[in-house]
Amino acid sequence: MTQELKDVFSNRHQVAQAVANQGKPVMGWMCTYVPEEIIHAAGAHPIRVVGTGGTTTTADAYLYSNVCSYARASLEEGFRGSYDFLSGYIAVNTCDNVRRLYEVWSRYLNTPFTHILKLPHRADEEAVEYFAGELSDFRERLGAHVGKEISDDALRQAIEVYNRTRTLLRQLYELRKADTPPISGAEVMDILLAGLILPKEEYNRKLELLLSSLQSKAASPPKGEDRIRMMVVGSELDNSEYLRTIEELGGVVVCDDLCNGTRYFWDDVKVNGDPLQALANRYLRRSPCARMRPTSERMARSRQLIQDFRVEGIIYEALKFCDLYGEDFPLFKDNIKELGVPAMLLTRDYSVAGLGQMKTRIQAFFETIRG
Amino acid sequence: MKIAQVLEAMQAGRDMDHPLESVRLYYDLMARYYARIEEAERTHHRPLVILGIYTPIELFYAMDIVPCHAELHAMNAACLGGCQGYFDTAAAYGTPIEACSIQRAMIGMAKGGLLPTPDFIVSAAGVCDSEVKSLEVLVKHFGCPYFLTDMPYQGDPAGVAYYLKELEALVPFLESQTGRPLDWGRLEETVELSRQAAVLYRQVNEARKACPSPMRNQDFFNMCTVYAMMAGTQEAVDYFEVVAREVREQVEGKRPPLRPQERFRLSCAFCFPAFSPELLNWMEQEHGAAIAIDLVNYWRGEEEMDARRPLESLAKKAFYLPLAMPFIGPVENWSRSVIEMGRGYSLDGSIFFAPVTCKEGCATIRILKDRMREEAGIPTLVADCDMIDPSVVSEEELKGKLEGFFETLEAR
Ligand code: SF4
Ligand code: SF4
Repeated sequence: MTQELKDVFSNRHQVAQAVANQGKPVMGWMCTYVPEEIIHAAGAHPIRVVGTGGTTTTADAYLYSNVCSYARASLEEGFRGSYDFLSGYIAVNTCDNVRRLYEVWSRYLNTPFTHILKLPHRADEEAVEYFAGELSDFRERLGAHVGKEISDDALRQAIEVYNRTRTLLRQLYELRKADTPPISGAEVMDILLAGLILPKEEYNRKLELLLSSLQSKAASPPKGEDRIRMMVVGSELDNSEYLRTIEELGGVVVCDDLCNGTRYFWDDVKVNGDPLQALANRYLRRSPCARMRPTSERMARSRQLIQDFRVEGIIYEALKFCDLYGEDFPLFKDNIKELGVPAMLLTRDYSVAGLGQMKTRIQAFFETIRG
Repeated sequence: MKIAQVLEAMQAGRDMDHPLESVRLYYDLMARYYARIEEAERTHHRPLVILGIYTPIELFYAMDIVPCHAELHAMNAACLGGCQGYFDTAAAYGTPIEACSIQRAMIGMAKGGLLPTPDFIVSAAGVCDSEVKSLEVLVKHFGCPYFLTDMPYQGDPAGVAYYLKELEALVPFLESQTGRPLDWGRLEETVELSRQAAVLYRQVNEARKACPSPMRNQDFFNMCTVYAMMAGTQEAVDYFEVVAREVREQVEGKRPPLRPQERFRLSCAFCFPAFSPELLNWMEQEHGAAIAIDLVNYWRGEEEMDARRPLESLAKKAFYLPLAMPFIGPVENWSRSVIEMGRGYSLDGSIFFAPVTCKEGCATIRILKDRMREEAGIPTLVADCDMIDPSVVSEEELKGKLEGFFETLEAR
């Protein structure tokens, strides 16, 4: 099952294209603050837009080489035609790089529908109200694009499907609290990544099967004694090789605070009341990313994860040119000081190049942890 | 470089001979601005705030709070005394070298004990990531109270309403920090002064449409600095009155020509390498290249403040202020400004000095360049540089690049 899910992400364009071929509009989204439930309720299929490795020559000319490599790699993929099947492209003003990427994408790629959601930086009542208004506009525009009114009932159904995914993923993470987790961090990432591409109903079925097999299975992949319980913190990471390297070197990744990880699924949407309001509330108040304020909320959540998963070491990964996460590291380190868990910054490029150098640094980090 | 040293440099600037009264006045205003910070830090008679440049300054003047714009101060200090030391200190703390150089200089100054200790910090989220993160570093460093106003992505009615609520929440914060209630009458006065300065500012811009350009290249940045640091004061109104008179007299031919001959009319589509004011002078004197208009001074639209609705006026202005408008929200704002500047100021070309650590700015280049060409028929030169660090691209290298551009313009 794990391999099957891994293949989904490896073949993501074919998988999404197959959905498009069935006549379902496929909507690419750029940031986990996009409420996929609205897209699902519109009868469309949401997928996360990501890049692949390799050079980004065209994207560099349209964005700029100081933009984070995730944004440039995603745009490059667009220019390569890999996302030509998209019926829509939806972004959020999460960070400077993503909002500028949205503008370049909208102007130079011919995706029929584009939309940017205006996300407040705070999560108080006023911000939720404002964001609910934003979601209402989005619902209307998207509905007009797909030629279908997005009803409250459809939203409620979508919320249930997505909440189910969240429950299952939390159950998967629960297993990782064990002394010897039954699944490696790299495998978990492969599973998570498949969820960014597959229709959620199908994904949920697969997750249920996987969970029942894992629950009856003895601890296996991260073999060996003395593995260091690691947490990976940072921005967008969609390369399980990154975690595999950490685990090959003697760690076991037991949890994360990543864009495609806990921040994506940790918090449910309330099922009662007005669904749009519930979505605004959940998306603003979910596990926050480094752009949200106050930072203390994010730090508190990270500290909680560190304690709950008995983390012994942290790798903080930041993409080069990501001001949000790059500048955040000293603050983060300071905030977890009292827990006594060491943290190391690994600045990386979106492509896997530089893994060799990374290995040496991780080894050295592990040695310091082991004393 | 400490506040007192920058203050001395500004006083020295003021006491030099200047062909234009506005330049002497500029240094005088800067000296007064720094003197207030120096005094507040020394005597604690008035509260001192470190302020992000996008926060409405009028509110602080109305409450007799002394503002220190740490980023602008870092820029000034770096241009006067070099920046490498600040960068090293910031890097030792953990700020990535890819982060905005101005912010790195500011963090380096804070960590090196060169910023004044504020009573509190106020900034605005929404304009650029680096600014907000860096001010958070300062908050942590000084361990002082902090208020962040959340500027939404767009100044549409919902956005203005949201930001107005932010400013309404800022008022009690300031009241609790100063121990004094806001005098709303005083706020109306400062907003009115800000309005008067803006009216004069726009008159200056109107006069800048004249050929030859009635303003020297080296002076344009002074205007946006004065407005950013002092809007809401009588001093700023006085300054803009002088500038408006000078440009008017220049247009009317009552003053000697500013440059041998105007051969090219250009715009600055973003910032300029502040470490080299000489470059602007060289463009003008050697090549007859006038910066007829520039983004950070260009007021788009006719919206005016209304002192009877002071907070609402400030909430609206936050979105159309030249120093903020292009950078907030969609690139459409920025594009429209550069295109309007191109058409309205009879430009031959536009220059985008691209600060290589500014993601927010550089990522717009392709769109701006394409739209400027397609919609106004005007070519754009992109010149990579840093605003404060000459080691990235030197003045000589920039001159070479500009000369190539002038040749292209000549050939057109
Ligand atoms: S990695 Fe950083 S800069 Fe890049 S998209 Fe994510 S938050 Fe933005
Ligand atoms: S130069 Fe760019 S990155 Fe630096 S503060 Fe200004 S907008 Fe932000």
